[in-house]
Amino acid sequence: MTRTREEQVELLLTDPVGLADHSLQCWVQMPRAEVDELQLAGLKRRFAEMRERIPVLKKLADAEGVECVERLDDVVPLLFEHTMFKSYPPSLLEKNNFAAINKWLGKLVTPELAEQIAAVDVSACKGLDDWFETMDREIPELCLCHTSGTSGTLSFLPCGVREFEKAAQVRRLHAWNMTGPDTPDPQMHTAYPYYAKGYLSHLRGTAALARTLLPDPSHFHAAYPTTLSSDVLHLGAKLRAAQAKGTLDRLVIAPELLAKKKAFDRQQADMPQHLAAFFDEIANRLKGKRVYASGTWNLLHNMAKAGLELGLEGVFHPDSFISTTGGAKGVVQPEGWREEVMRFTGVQELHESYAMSEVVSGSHMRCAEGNYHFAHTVIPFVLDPETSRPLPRQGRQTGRAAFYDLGAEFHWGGFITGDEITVEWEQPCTCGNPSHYVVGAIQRYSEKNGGDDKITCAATEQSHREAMDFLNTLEG
Amino acid sequence: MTHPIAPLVIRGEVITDNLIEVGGRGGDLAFLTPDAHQYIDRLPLGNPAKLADLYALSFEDILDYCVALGERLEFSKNAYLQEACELSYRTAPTTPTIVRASYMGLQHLLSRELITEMVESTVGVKYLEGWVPQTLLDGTELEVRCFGARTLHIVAGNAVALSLWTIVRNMVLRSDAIIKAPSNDPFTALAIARTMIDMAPDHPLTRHLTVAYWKGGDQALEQRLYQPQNLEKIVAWGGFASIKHVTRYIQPGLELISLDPKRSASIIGKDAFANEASMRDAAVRLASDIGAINQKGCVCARTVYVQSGTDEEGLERLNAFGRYVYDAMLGLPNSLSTAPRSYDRNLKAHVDALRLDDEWYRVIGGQDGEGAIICSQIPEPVPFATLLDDRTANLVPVDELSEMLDAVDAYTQTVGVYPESIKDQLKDVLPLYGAQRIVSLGYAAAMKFAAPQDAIEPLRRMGKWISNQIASPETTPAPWLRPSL
Repeated sequence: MTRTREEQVELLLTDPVGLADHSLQCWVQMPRAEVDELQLAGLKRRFAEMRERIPVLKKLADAEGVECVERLDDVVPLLFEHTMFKSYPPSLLEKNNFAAINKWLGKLVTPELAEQIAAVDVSACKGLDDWFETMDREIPELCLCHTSGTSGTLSFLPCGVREFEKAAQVRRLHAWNMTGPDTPDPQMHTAYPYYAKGYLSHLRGTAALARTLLPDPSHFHAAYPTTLSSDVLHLGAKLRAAQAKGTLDRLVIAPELLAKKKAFDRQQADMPQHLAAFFDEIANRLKGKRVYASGTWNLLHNMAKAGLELGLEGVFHPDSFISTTGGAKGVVQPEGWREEVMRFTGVQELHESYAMSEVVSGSHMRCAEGNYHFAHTVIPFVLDPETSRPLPRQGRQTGRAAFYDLGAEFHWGGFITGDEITVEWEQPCTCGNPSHYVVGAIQRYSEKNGGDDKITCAATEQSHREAMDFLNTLEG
Repeated sequence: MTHPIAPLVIRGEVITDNLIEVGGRGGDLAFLTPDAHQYIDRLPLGNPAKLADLYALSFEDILDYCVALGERLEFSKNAYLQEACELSYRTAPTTPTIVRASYMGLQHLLSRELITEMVESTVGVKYLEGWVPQTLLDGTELEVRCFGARTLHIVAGNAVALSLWTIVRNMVLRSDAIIKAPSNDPFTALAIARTMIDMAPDHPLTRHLTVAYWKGGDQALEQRLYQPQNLEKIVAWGGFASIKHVTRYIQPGLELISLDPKRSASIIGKDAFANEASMRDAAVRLASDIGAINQKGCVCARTVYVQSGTDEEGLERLNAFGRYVYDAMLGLPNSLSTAPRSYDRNLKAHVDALRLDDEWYRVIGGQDGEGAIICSQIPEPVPFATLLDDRTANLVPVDELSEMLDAVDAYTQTVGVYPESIKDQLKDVLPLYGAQRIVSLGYAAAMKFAAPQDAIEPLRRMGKWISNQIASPETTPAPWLRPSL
């Protein structure tokens, strides 16, 4: 099928798997010159669409004097820092003033969506979980999610349902090993060693994957059938911040949160049964089935360890797709964790990827050579860590990773990460994948300078536990 | 390229052998220094009886030495200081004019009157000079004397004068000091030590100062050195991580005197807005507290509660005041404050995000990394208040004085207050919330030798307080004469 360049760009932005005719081979082998060219064209379109329409972007572009994008690097002054998504006053959450939060969110998105957001009545929302649920219900195409930080402030990301879907479709190319649009549905199951639902970005991603990869919701098997409470996670983040500031004694806990805690206590008491049922399901219903499982390395490893202790080995079909996201996140990975995961699941290889909450479309898969190959849907940048100026897109460059997420439709997709990466722009990887790629380890700058400032997905468990422990002390 | 050498000084001896290369902070200056591992057994004084030579000195002798040293620390005549100053331009967190001004001010710390005032107000000279007697109610004659101790000093590198301050405290107490120099100021203590060696190589005060550099956290070295047979006290300045690190070595017989990481705040009462002149006065004072040594001191103001009012008019007042503060900050003398050496990137990300949405916060300046004043438009500080640095402060509007107590928490050191008239209302309350030092606005950077520090009296704590009880059954009831039951 021959398409015009214009059509190709349209596909990259709206239906990326269509660009590769739903073929993994075709997707992976897209020539890098072609990808570069499409990405620049895609970026120009996004910029033209959003420059005047997203208030915060407009203000930044005005201040920086950026009127047009000729080269990829032209957009670098307009890449957002992580701070952009949490620049609201934290007290708004304490006061459950979600109307004000919505107003603030409205400045980060296109006017049509801002209008819809403003129209939602959130005056009765009693907390974050309530708010997320309301927003989900009232604006079906929005998939608001959050990350959390020890500053005590959550980042809110105004992502779209469609963004998650597009990313999940790219993942499906890999998981189903697709050869075209008619690739038969392998009737996969998902074993997910965590909560069934939640508003943390990776839970949102998991939900999107389940919808896209699985024949129906009955094929999704979560360890805990409940929702991971964002209110409790937020309390965990606030506790850490208050502890660091020495103001723990002044923290005021809302009665709603205490009530929530009671509900959690009951759930907590049921956890062992849930886990037993989960492994029972794995051992019986999922035995020999093709399974898709993805999560942070420690989630998968904990599942494998628990399974191996129960004497479960090689439980899934060898064509199952087991995938990890995110780096080590400041935790030292124990020797042999990969082998344990493979022994438990019964697969020959693990699919590791590099991704982050703020760049929904950007899951960069690790190849046999150990390099992370950039997804076509995001434009990578390497910035000077001090000045944030772009380093040349040639040779091998080490610096701060930044991305433009071409998949983002409601908000501006430019984002600067806290990761140090080394990108090889010229020498093709010996694995045969023609794309640009990350060589060597990915490290967080904050880790390099001692200590991580984020509660990452790998640390939500701990944050959760700390919050519960604290609430326990209040009740007594 | 040849790297500069930071010698090791061990009690009067200057050592330049066994050099290893050490990277400066941020990789900006590498220097050579003797490998401290090779000299570890010589770093501690050993037998504490070796402190005895200091007891042949009187307080007057010590003052004489200090004054003579002060004369030799005249910057224009001291090659060691000049060299150290030049090198410090590349290691210090501040800029050359501030570093140079600090070096030029060192000699003034060594006046006879100043040191006497410090000792009198914090310890009492007589307790250092001999046994101070008193008679207790039960007839016991009690004598108390303050002795020196073998002390390791982990000095902070954010202000040049701290090294000299440490050396003076050590001298007046008749203690033995090992100074572990910081990576962001590896040269100052050394230059002073070498001046002392040139001046009086065999003097006991010269012979009880050791200056070494090793990378903080070197467990192999610290585990061996930080032992009660080597040291009695560790005085540690620094950030959370480094203090936390030192605590692992603390054990019976080895005391930690911790000058913790601190932050400071200011409180501006409504009378500051009485007229244009008082607004300008408050603004320049506040600018000084924010900008002094480019906000690298724990004394520097970061969060500022302003009783401007929170209605529209109040916010207008606040924003106008913020502009005055910003202008005054740019006008500070370059010996006190300049555009920062480099603006903290993480902080800049936060500030820039606020700049794009002025509903809750107004950002004045900061685009060129020169420092910024952030005026909250709601009565609460920015969420990243703990990161404020590089001449960036946050003005928070409030209606009532009582709301200002939020400015203070467990990590607060200095609180600058304006006008003076509201201090009496605040000074009995602020300490309950954590404030440790209250100053007239504008004087945060004027730390006083004679005052307590971080809610303790370091000089007292650095001494060993020994008592001698004299009693006999004729004057004092004797334990062995108690009746049996």
